[in-house]
Amino acid sequence: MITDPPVVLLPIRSSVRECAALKRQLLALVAYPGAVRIDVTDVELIDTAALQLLFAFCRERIAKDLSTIWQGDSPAFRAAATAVSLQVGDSAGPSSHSACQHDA
Amino acid sequence: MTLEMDQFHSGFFEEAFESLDAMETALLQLDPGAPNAEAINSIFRVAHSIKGGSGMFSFTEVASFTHTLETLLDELRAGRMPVTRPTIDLLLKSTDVLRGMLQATQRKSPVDQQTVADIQFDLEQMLAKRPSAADTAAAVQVASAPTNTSLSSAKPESLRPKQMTWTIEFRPTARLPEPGADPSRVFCELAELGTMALVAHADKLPAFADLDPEVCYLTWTITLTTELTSEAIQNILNWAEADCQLRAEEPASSRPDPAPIASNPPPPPSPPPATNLTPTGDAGGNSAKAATADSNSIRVATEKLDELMNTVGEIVIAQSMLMQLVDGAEPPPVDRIRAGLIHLERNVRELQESVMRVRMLPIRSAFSRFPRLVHDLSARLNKQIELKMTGEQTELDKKVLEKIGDPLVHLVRNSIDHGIELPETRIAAGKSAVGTLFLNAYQLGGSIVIEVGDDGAGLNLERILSKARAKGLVGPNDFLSDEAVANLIFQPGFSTTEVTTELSGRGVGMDVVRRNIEELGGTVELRTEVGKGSSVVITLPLTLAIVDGLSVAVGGEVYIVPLVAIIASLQFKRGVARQLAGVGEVLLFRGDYIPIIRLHDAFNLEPRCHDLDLGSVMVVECDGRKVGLFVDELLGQQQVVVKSMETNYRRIEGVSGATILGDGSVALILDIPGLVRYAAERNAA
Repeated sequence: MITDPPVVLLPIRSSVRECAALKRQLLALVAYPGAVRIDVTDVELIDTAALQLLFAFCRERIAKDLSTIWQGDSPAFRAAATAVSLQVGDSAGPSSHSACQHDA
Repeated sequence: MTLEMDQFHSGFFEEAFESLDAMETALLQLDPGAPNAEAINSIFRVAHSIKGGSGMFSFTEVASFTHTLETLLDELRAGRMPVTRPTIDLLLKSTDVLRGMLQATQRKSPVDQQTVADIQFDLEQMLAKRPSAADTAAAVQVASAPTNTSLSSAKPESLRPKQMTWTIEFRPTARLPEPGADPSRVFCELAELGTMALVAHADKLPAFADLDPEVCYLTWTITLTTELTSEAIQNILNWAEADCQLRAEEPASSRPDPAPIASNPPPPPSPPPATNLTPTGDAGGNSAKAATADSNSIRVATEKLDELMNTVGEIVIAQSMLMQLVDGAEPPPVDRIRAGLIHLERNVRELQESVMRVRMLPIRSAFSRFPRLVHDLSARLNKQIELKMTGEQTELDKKVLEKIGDPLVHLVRNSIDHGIELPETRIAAGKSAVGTLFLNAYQLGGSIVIEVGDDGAGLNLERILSKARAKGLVGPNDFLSDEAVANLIFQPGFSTTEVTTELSGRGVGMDVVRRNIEELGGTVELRTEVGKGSSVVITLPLTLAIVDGLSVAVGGEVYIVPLVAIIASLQFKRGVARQLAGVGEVLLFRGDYIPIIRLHDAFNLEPRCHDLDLGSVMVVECDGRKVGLFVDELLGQQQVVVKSMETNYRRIEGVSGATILGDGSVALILDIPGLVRYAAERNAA
């Protein structure tokens, strides 16, 4: 049976105050054997804490050879990630795979 | 270097830092319209003694810089130059530079040559503007020549800042919810100074499960090419809650050529300007001052040491008396031994109190940064603010004093930024154009009270309440007292971005301030009146080294509950506890249902009793939230000496420290704020 990958919908405001809840959500999926989708469409504000959390999530999934799919596009998300020099995901399109990298 | 020389150096630095603090205070009190001659004299004497001491120890760079500073001060005290606002500002900058030079020299690290050269250039330019400048300028050059680092004003263009490439290692230190802690803000501001490249490093990032979302594990290397000086960069970094290492990588060809000085060998190539910055977020030189205050040494008044010596003498006498009693008569005189032991016990208690007094320092050292902070911030915000400080002699344990600095800075900044209105607004409201910011400290029983307040706009309670309702923090029909509404600003949900400025924006970091105070075992209370101002009252324990606690038994273990947190101890009647959906086990206490934490569950122990009516419940309070702690048995009240878990083992959630009991066993001291948070998170989960 084919099931849809679970989707993590990032809220409009994804800041450190929302991180505890977001972490709980991501923690349940960090070892999920199938692909996990992260939808950034709604994001209007995201801070370094949330980006760091997403970055750590992606990094761990990559280390486990698991797939994370980025879904939607958000200028705020892109701008915030660029501002702190983190490449968290790839918001080019729904089917693109995570490019969880950093410039170091 | 010999031990003796190290001791001399240590004494010199200690005195120099204290003198600089005094110099800064005197400068801030100088009135440009009617300068006080004695104040100028005292400032001059500080520069003169630092120059003499640094010359004696061959700290030539410090001696050279101080010489220029002293020359300017000599002109001022002789009345040959007027005391103007720009002069005072330059002298304040000079104290910052001098403090930085002394710190670098003390740490045996390189001095930030560029910053020194910039300020020295400004000092010399100011000197050059005075009457008969030519003669004096020549004297300055000759006098400063032996150091080879002094830069003459003969070729001022060589000193002007050129394009430099700065590398900044940026490591955030604050927890991310703290206002202004998000590194991206600093990066944006730095990017405006020139061309910036940013590289993030994730090597400190833990496994996802272990990641604390409020901690920034990422670090950055910033490469900034700019014409601006290190001071301009520092001004931005000072606002960041981060450890920053700033170093210059100036191309050799663009380095300023130090001006040759007649009859002196050419200066050696300048070492790359480097400085270790550990900003605390203060304006001006306060970061450096904070570092000084957080030192490992302590200056003790002779009478305190005499008192200590006397008590130790008494103990030695009591001990030898007891030895004689035990070694002498057969059978030993039990009554006299008992009396001797009581005497010894009294002496030991006195010894403990004397040692505690040795650790006590006047709060002046924490307050001393504020005149400068108020001076700098009020100028930046175009506000007129008078700072009134009282109770600076009030003594507080050194450890508490070191930790109280940052919360006080937050409160003072909030008052300046959001509490006190602009002069025109104040005048329109029928107030004086000059706002008042007050800091007051006094002892109240076994606690120290610190008040930080202003006569500004006060909190707009209506708007706070509507904001809280909009955010769902308060139900639409819930009635809250004014005090409860004001206390909403301590909720983490309130932040600058969400609370408008007219509301006074006091949500900024207030949750962090309260958390920091509570970690010190203290409490925070807010008082406010619309249009008349606000004040925050902090109550702190005199010391962190000893805690009054209640020992309780849980399973085979003993825990200490700090008395300050306990509201009541209860024996349960069967059926008083309830199970509430989403909250778990609760207890009806004074009309409210409060969650119960079974300590054996929290610490994975096998309890002696599971039934609530067989054990005891202590109601504790933190952050305005009450929790019932279920334990097997209450053992008794006692004073315990706190040992750090982090130093001796590692941090444990729910535990703030440990102590050794009379029987030699170890008891853990409960971290009440941590347990209250644990209850809240358990309920939210």
